[in-house]
Amino acid sequence: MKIFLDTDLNFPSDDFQALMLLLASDEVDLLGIGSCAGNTWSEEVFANLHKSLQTLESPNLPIFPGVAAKRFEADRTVALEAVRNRTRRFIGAHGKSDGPRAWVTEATPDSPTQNASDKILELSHRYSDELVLICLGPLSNLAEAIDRDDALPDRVKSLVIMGGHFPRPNDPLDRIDFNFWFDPDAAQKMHDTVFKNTLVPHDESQAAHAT
Amino acid sequence: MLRQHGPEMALADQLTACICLNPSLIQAATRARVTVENGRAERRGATKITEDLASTVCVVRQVDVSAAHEMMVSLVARMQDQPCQEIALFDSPSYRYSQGMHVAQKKLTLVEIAYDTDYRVTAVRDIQTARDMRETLVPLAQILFDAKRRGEIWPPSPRIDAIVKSAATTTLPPFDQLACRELEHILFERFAAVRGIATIKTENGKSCGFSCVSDLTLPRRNLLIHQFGDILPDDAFIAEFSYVERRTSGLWAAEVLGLSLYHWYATTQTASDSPSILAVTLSTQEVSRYGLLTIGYEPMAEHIIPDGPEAGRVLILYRLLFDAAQQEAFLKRLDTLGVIGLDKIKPRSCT
Repeated sequence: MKIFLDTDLNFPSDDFQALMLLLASDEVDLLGIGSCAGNTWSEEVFANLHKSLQTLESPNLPIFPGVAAKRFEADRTVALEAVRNRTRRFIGAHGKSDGPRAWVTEATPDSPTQNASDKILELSHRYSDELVLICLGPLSNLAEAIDRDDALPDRVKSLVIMGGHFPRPNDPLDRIDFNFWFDPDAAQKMHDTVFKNTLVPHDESQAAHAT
Repeated sequence: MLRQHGPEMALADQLTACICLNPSLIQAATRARVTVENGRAERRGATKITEDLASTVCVVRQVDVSAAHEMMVSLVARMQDQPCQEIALFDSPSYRYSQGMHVAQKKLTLVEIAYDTDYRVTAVRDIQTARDMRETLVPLAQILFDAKRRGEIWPPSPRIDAIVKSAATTTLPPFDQLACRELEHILFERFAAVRGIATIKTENGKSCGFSCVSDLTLPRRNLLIHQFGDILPDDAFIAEFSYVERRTSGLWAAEVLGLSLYHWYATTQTASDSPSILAVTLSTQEVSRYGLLTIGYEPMAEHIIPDGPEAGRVLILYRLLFDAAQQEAFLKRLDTLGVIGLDKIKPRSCT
């Protein structure tokens, strides 16, 4: 299975564990990982991925920077304030740091010349009808790729998204999925395309637990 | 025989990965149009689903959770089978300790932790001196011996048998005469079949913790990845930790010390102008393959940066981010959930 993973891996949390599972599978040919802004800045995600892949003894797996932090600066400020003032209940959000943490300053490899959307497009041509995209964070990188080539969905075998929250009637918790909140335009774009799109909403994840 | 502790965590991205690897995990799905709100600020990101058989969007509504669990366990077990890098015995890579992070650590509270009615130990200790270490070791040794007597050292291991027998029949070293570091070695040589110890130091060279890699052959089903992040709806804090719990003598020690550390952190935070950030680091490799215990006996800031041979092997084990008010909310919430508390940690049966 040819997979490109797009993630906002912040600390070793569920994103990290998902990455670990993919790496553990013999069936997966993980072609690359994109860093997307969300739980933290995409630049920090990039550094986190570098660190995580070393930890998982897969240091040569290619990683690609996502849409830069600057575009989301205002959103993150709003998110941080909402969390701080408790005016918003996010689901699926981690990492409320105001900025990249110190260890990001550690030496990381030079960013490749390609960014995440470049790589998605390239892989979609090389592995037409084979490529599976897994998006664990906001969908900005994928949206950028579609903006550049709206035929992308035709070449992708499937897109699996972690996101969305469909509260049951009378749900007392007025929570909103952080991934879709962070970049709602990108989220809507994914659902308006003709991707063979599997959406795993938080409702299911909340029903499935592990210890 | 297997037991596990800690709260349950919702599977999010892990479940997504499993579904991707095995779509047959999906038991129910809906073809639907999905609308994401982007108008009113207060509803931004809210999703609306409208059934539409012509849609290419497949919304997962029900998953075979037990099969997903099995899949995760199986994949993790596979990782454990992979060879791990060798770590020289007692090699002590250096760690940098970032500055500028205010860490409040003023008082220590002894808290009695109940594993069940039979295993009780006063486990929260300020382990900074040889005497502190001794006082921590003694009840741990008793726990191990009790477990052995009950035939609950699992899996059976001649090596562990020999260790326990040796410990039971020989005089323990005069702890007061030993340096803390020597005591660390004794602890893990004797009880955790230590493979290596990495000392964590502050920038001025002062020791602030240590990590130990045990060399036990461990049951795979016991890999536990705990995460507290999402169980508190008010996001009052972020905390996550991952550790391997195995019912062996070494890991009994790990459990006790690991949890005591958790409680130590949870009970010793004092109010400060900025949130206190504490962390214990842990090598994922050792977690998934051997079992590693990291203990900090001084507060360790979040940004412990490894260099040397351990570079890239750090996983944040605990991170607690809260002030006094948040701490209170945190503890209250945990208590409400009944999963963990200052005076109760109760094992649950492993499914």
